[in-house]
Amino acid sequence: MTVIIKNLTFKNPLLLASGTFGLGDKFLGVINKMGGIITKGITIEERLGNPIPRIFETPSGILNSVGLENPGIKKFKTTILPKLTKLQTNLFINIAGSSVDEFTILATELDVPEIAGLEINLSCPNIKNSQRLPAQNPRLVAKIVAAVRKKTSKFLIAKLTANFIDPLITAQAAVDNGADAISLINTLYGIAFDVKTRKPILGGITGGLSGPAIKPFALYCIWHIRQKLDVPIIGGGGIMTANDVKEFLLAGAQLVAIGSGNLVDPFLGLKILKELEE
Amino acid sequence: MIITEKAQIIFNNSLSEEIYSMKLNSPHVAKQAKPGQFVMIRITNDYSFILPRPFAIADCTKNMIRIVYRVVGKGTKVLSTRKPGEILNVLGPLGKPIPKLKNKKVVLCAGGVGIAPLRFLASKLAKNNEIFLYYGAKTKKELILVNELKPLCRKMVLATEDGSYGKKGVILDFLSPDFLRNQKINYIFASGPLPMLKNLELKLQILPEIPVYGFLEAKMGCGCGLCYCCGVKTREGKYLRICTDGPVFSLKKVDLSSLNK
Ligand SMILES: Cc1cc2nc3c(=O)[nH]c(=O)nc-3n(C[C@H](O)[C@H](O)[C@H](O)COP(=O)(O)OP(=O)(O)OC[C@H]3O[C@@H](n4cnc5c(N)ncnc54)[C@H](O)[C@@H]3O)c2cc1C
Ligand SMILES: Cc1cc2nc3c(=O)[nH]c(=O)nc-3n(C[C@H](O)[C@H](O)[C@H](O)COP(=O)(O)O)c2cc1C
Ligand code: FES
Repeated sequence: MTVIIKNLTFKNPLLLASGTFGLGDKFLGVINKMGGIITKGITIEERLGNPIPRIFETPSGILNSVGLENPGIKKFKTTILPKLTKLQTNLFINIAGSSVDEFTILATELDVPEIAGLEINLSCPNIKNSQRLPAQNPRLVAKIVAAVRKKTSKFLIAKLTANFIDPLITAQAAVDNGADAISLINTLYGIAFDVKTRKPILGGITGGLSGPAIKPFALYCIWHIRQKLDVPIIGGGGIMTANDVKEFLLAGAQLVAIGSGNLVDPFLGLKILKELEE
Repeated sequence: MIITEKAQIIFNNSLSEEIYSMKLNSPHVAKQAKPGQFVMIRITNDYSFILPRPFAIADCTKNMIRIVYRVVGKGTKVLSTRKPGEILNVLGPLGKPIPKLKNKKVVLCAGGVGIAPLRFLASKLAKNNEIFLYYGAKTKKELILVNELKPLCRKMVLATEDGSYGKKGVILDFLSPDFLRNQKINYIFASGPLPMLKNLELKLQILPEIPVYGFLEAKMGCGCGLCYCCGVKTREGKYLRICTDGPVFSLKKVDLSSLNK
């Protein structure tokens, strides 16, 4: 089941998706069996995240508004990264900047040997002077990917969005500027209301929809890009079973990322791996 | 070590209209479980309910764990229809255990189904501590587990809001600071609705020397520190995770208003 892309070897096509498996310092028995892990998004400054509730269940899906809670790059490097040196798999750090400069600072800070690569979170809603996600703007995608590429020789993943944009356009921009792989579809925009209080349910008001509810759309996006572009794709969106993984590979992904499934069961990755091996 | 296991339902009995007691054969969780800890239970084994639900471990014997839960919404409604012999996925034990205590005087303060985690705590503490239980519910029917708890407690004060059993009122009305001071109570553990925990914290500000701990709740994703969904703010304004830093916290350390919706 080994997958080789550029200079990296993945012992199987399974990755643990950003934001759904912490910072990589828990459940090492699961992480080490996977092809890789992508950490929760890291920003320059520590971020407290959004008020609770941060999660809400929808039919076959999850809405979350965690709001990028993380310790910030300095604390991550001093307190978490040393614990990750013994990981026996590819470690990717998901970086979330709020400007092109911030992305380049994060990439420079993380140009360290423990790390296999970076996942640039272009779907982060906190970019300065913009109402939109960077990944909704091909020119911004190009700029950020190019700037990060200059600062690192690491494997570079551009995490795109499928919210209100054809991801084929942004995938092209990412590839043209040096991304080694693209990752998608991230969560879709969502909101839920409490009809009794007439208020939004989530503390962050809006959230990101993930889980099986978004799987057919995720598969479509990957298939759609695969028709036109020859770029390694990390597919994700609602993977819960070995069959789901096979569908993503059929649609054209080389690797897949398990996200919400880890919340249902932190050992899901191992279960899927066992099923795939049978 | 946290594990998932397929646990068979031994019984799932109603204790009152909306409160159920469910016993599960869950040997690996049972072997390790300690008071203060909880489990995440999948409601069904398909994905019609995606998120597992957190429940305190209310009791634990050799191979079995018991949860006591109130039907509040769609998940617990379906859980209440699950039958003996059926299999549920259980993840646990989760959360930080309460350290062992010896030769202490401990007040347990429960509101409603908040009695669940205190039941397990009481059974462990009873061996070498003195327990004073203050327990209130809306009505007599909702005062559950009383017969099980009675032999474990040196003193038990019961109250109902409608006066149908015990004293009439909310339980905090009957927990007097003078009593706590005179009895030289060492610890207070409280579990119940958020307003109860808030009022308790306010009431005990005049007794800063007595540590008071509360069982906190938030909507959880993973229950084991992976998703950052279950934050509670400390008084310094930083978030802690209820699932891995708690669920039991010193009420002097956390800002309970951060749990308001
Ligand atoms: C660590 C922990 C231990 C718990 N232990 C117990 C226990 O021993 N017994 C018990 O009866 N309950 C316990 N709970 C609460 C229990 O998890 C919820 O009642 C349950 O998840 C509701 O599921 P539902 O699908 O029926 O509710 P939903 O249909 O999802 O929601 C219905 C209503 O319940 C409220 N609700 C949902 N989840 C929670 C929650 N986590 N905390 C508070 N309110 C909630 C919602 O806001 C809503 O108003 C515990 C919660 C936590 C975090
Ligand atoms: C609770 C939660 C937190 C997430 N946090 C991040 C994040 O910090 N950075 C990021 O790029 N994606 C984040 N995601 C998106 C996931 O990595 C994944 O792309 C998305 O959930 C779709 O996959 P799924 O349907 O398998 O969950 C998060 C998702 C969830 C459910
Ligand atoms: S519920 Fe996921 S971190 Fe606490």
